[in-house]
Amino acid sequence: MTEIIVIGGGWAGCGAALAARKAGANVTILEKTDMLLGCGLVGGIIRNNGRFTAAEEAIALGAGELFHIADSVARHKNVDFPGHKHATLYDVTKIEPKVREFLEGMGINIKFKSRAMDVKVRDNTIQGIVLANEEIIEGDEFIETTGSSGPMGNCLKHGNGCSMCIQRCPAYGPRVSISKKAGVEDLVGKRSVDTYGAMSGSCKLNKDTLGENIKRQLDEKGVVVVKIPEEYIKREKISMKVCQQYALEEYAANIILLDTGYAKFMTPFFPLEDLRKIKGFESARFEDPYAASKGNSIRYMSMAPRDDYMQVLGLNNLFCAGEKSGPFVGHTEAICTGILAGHNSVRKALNMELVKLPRTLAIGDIIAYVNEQLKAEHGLYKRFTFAGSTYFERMKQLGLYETSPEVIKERVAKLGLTGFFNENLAIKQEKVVGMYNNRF
Amino acid sequence: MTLNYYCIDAGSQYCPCHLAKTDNCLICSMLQGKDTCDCRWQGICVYQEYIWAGGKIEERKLLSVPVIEKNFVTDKLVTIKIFIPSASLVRDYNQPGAFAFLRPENSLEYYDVPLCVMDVDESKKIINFAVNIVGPKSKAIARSENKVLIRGPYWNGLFGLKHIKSSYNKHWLIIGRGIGQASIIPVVKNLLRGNNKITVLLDCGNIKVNLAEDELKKLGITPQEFDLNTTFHKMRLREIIEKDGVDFVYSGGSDVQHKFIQNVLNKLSFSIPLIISNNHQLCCGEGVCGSCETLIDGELIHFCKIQLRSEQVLGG
Repeated sequence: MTEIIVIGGGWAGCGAALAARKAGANVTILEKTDMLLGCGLVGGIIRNNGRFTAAEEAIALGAGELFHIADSVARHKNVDFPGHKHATLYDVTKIEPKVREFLEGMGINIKFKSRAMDVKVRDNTIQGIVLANEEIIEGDEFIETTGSSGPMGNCLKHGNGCSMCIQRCPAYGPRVSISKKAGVEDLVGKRSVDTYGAMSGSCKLNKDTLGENIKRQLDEKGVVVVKIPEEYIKREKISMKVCQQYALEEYAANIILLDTGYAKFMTPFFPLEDLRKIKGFESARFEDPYAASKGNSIRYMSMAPRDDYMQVLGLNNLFCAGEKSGPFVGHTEAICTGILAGHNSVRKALNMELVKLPRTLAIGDIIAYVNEQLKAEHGLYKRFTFAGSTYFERMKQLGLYETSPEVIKERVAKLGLTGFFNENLAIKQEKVVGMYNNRF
Repeated sequence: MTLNYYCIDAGSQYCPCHLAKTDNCLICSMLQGKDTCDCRWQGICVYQEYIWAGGKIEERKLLSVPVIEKNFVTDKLVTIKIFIPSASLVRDYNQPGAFAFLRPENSLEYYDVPLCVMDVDESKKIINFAVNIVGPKSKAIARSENKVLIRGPYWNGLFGLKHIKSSYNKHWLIIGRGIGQASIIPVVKNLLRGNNKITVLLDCGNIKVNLAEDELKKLGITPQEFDLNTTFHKMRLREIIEKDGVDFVYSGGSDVQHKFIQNVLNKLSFSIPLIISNNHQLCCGEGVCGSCETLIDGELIHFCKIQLRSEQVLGG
């Protein structure tokens, strides 16, 4: 049986594990904390703008389960907020146990509090992952979905210090770049010539600490926009943000709140003493990061060079997905890249031809496009998401953006890819081998 | 794979240290002058501590302290009891592997002798050291009358500290030879707190007396005579380990002794961790001077600061 080891249990790792398991492999996820989903635990936004198209493509391709789970715990559907249309807001306080139960039900082995610390390599082939307790986890193919934020030193050197975010480095230890440990240099995103990384673009307030009006509006509509008094507007924060789809004037001039179970506050950080001077926020308290008065996590510090099959260049058996695989922003992007990495890892283990997704699909196009852009000048200064900014513009220009599930299904069917990720390759492989042997 | 180890000072009040200040931290990539974070995680972020401290480091102080008692056990062996005026500092000396640098008053730094803490009396704030008189430094400290200068505490006097600190209800075999016996009392006291069973073998070696015997008896342990140089005792060692269900072995003595015990353990069908005293040439204790640097698996290791497994230290 093929052994696939996924390092990192965030959305990308869950997508990769799902696809690898469907393709017929034994799958183990190594997760350093006590929960899956990583930043997805404080995410909550799917299906906004081009992400709708990508989610429906993943569903049509036969790997849409994680989107179905997110839909099933949606607090609000079809929400519009500045610059964004038809978003679904999933409840971040309810989703993790559901995803965990689903993946374990598929027979995926999840090892929690198992921090990957190092790697054993021979001739550019990974033999095993070394955990912090020095246990070695061996496998045939490895998928790195460790993300690109943290550890604390990065947040300190390139941001405002550890903000005590959901990654909980002080408690569970730092993220380690497995590809780098295996000898492949990381690509590091930039904000300016000498500043690296970018800051996470939102923080969360405890809903119960907000004024009754704001709370009620959040519960009913899912979105609240409150004007910020001029003296507290900090426009310079916009350029710090990872999430260029929210790098708009409205996000500097207003408090934009989304109901994801918490009140998701669309700014990287906000001094509490200023926030409490605004009507309705007199008793506000941060829920994530705990120190959102001063900062947020720094990301894009550790991306691996890869091809469009999601293989890390320079190694024989390492794939990558999510932020590890380039300057992607968002959970939809993580899941979609994860699915392809997971599927291809099994193909590789079975000596089958690897697949790229066609560029007539948004998922196929973004994977290839981001890689092209990374190699171009100033590539390390850019971020990409289906949800806005330059890539969403491109989707619209190319006619990739589509909001009818039926049309998207049709597109996938025309390509002959309906349910493509549902196929158990291991069984297919046995049949192929059987046919071959019967001929002689 | 990189070598996995931890720094004895990481997270203590003496971290960050001179090495952090000079971009030579043993743990943190940022404090090695790199732009991205990739540390040997020790449960704390050294870089964060360094930045929060404003780049200042806490130094171990040089204290002039009174000599309470000096006792020539033989003409080549002296024990020196000193009084430390601070209760918290005495507490910091009271752990297995603790050592300090002592030198006579009015002498220069190069008279510093690294001495392991033989015993601590916290209530009286007294620390006991044993000095094997061999050369100019040990002779000078043996002649000190009223006061000595002490710099410390340092903690990396043995390898395998985590086994000692976490041991509960286990059986330990402790072997002390020559001046190496000076290191076993703090180990034994620590293990007794963990309700461990302790068997001690003493070989007087070239100091000709069993330095630790009286103190062990006070602790309710009767040490057995031992002679490392005979085949008979080699057999006996193996017998004790196999028959009495020993879980851990501590060796306080020379590297020759460590290797001898390691060979006995390697021949067993099961594996037993070996904890050993640190016999490297310690000179500054801060990882700065390089006198204890040794190449292990292609990496330069500062043995005054780094905790490694005994097999990494001894090789094989």
